[in-house]
Amino acid sequence: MKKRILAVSLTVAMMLSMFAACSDDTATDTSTDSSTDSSADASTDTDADAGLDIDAIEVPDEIDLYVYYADASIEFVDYALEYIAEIWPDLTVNIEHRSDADGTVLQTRAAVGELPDAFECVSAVNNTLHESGDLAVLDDTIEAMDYYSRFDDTAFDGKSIDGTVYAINVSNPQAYTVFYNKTVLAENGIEEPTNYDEFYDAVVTLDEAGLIPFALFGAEQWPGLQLYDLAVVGCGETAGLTGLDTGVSAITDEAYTEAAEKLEALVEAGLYGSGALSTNASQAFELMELGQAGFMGNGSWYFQDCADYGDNIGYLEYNPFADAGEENNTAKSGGAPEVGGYAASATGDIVDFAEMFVLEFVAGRHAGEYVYSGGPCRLLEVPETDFEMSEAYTAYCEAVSTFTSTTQYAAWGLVDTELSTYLCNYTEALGMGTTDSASFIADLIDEIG
Amino acid sequence: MNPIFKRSKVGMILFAAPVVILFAVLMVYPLCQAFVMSFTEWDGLNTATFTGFANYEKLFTSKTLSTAMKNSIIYSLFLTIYQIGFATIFSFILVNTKIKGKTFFKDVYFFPVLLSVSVVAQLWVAIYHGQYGLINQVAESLGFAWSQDWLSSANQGIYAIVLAESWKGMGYHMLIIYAAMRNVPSMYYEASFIDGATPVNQFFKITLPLIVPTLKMCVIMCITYGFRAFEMIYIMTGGGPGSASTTLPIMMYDAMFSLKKAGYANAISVVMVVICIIIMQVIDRSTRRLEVEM
Repeated sequence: MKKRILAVSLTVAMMLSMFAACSDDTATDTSTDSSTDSSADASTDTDADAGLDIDAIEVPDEIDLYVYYADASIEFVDYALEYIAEIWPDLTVNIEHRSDADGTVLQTRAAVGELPDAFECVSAVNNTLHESGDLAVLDDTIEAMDYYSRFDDTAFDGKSIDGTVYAINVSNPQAYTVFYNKTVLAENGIEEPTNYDEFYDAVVTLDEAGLIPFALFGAEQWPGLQLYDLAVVGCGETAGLTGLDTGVSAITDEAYTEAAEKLEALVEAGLYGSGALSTNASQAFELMELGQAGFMGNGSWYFQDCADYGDNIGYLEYNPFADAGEENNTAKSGGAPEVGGYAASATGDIVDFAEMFVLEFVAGRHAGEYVYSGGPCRLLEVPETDFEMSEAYTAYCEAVSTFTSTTQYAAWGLVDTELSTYLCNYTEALGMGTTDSASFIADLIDEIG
Repeated sequence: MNPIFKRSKVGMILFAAPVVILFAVLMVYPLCQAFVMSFTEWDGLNTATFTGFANYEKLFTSKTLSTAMKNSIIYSLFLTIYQIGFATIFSFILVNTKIKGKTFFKDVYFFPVLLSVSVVAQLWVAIYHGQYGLINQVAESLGFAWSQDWLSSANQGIYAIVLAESWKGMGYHMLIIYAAMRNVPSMYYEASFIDGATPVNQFFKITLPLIVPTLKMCVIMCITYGFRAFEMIYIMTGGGPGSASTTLPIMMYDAMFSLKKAGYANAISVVMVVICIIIMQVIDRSTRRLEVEM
């Protein structure tokens, strides 16, 4: 009898355990319900915010801010905090460093209901958090603060989802740029390439000279992927890889094949040298700055990183994948406005204040970025700076208005995470020479259709 | 059975309960949850939708699966051969020879086990680096016009990684096998010596059969680890180039954190668990007849 009781008890325990596991859907549904509620709250909040009296919003003692706080960004964030301190002197800002680029930490925190009051998030996560109702609507606070009047007209282009702003940042085009070491090119008799043929010849010349033609920091997947995006743009598909995400183009289009073929030919000519997969950003910078590599690809923020190196770093003004005869192709890769940026948690205790805080932080950080690293300033009241921009950076800033198109950073700017993951993996294989352009396209067709 | 438990099975249940409960909470429940979620489409945050066997279909038709399985098998075999092989040889030498500095050698072999995976991975990345790596530099200084891009190669990458992993973990198995060899009663060796057995005969006829249970455990650990390998691969190549050095755990990580498909990631984890259980059972059953009672 005792054995039977024991057996029954164990069976019941097992069934309860299974039901507990199976009830996850219910649990998810519950969280969805609460998400829906919070969405509803957010929209209610929007309604309530109509005619928002920002002076009536209570200033809390402290606020949690999840933000990238390393490298050059430390100065920008510190500047923003000083700016914030002038507005709210008694406010303590608790900084939490954003250690990942893909928003995984943020999404995990959202899943367990522990979002910081204010945070920085990428496009894909922005969409997920928007869907779950975790993002506060910023429109009414923007209006109540007359926020846009402090900036030029296009400073916040592309920041809304269905006409509503959930995350905000100044939309400065930080294009993916091919930099070069002027001394290395001059010593090898190479002039700044303006089309694909010249770029190919430069790669061959540098490889034969025992140098690394293009310092790729392949320990991260995005630089290689963005170079392919630049190639697609140079081959005539101005939507680049973003076009695959938005549906305006298909991987079977000629530009994607041509770009892959050009990249394959460059790789065979020794584009990346050896060890690119194990090379990190700092190592690539050193290769470039010490004259062991001719070219390097990075976002235009590298102008700030290489400021100490004077005028020896130049950048390719024209797309190096354009065919001969199309030398004036200024179509760029990366830097198009994206919906990501700084957001306020809709589920926190200080939602209204967090919305205001986010807006002021963005203004302060942008001012700090301009003060410490130059570049285009979108504030109408431009702060004073004694930062001296390099020749190349000045030229880049002047050329920004001539960019004929820009695309997203495909590794984190695309909404379709599956697409960006497959693109990352297969472009890496193409770059390391473990697949050819025909297989590359065929594999992508299989994966993304 | 302990007489206390013979008298009162309640006592037995009470004593076993904490472990059983912990096991259920930490192992059974998450496994059940993963199994259930593997039938859903879920981004980890919003509503999960039931999709039947779609995730399994996606997994079994995935181009990456065959590469992951091949790499896992390579990883398992290489780990087993290197770690168990060297561990057994070193243990035998340390137990049966009178050399000076036994403790020193034991410590040296065990030292890599104490290092964190990230440290070891970075160390070996520096050794393998195609441009500045130790191996290529040594080859160059010796006048060989031979340079390999170890980690960027589709064929060599996984072997380069598993060599680093094997180097790191060998000492752990060596200590286990060393302890097992030390537990073999000396009277067997004395008797066999009188009968004229050589050290080689003693090793194959006495030592090896008596440490089979220990070896079996080590083999199971090595082989199942091959199917669970993640950290070293992730740090050294991220599963690349492309998916050339990927394994099931890397696929699972990508599914969870890159694709943002938690349901798909759970399906991969369920398959991993099933594979590990099958391997464990096969090894256990196939080696049962080799075990000898002391």
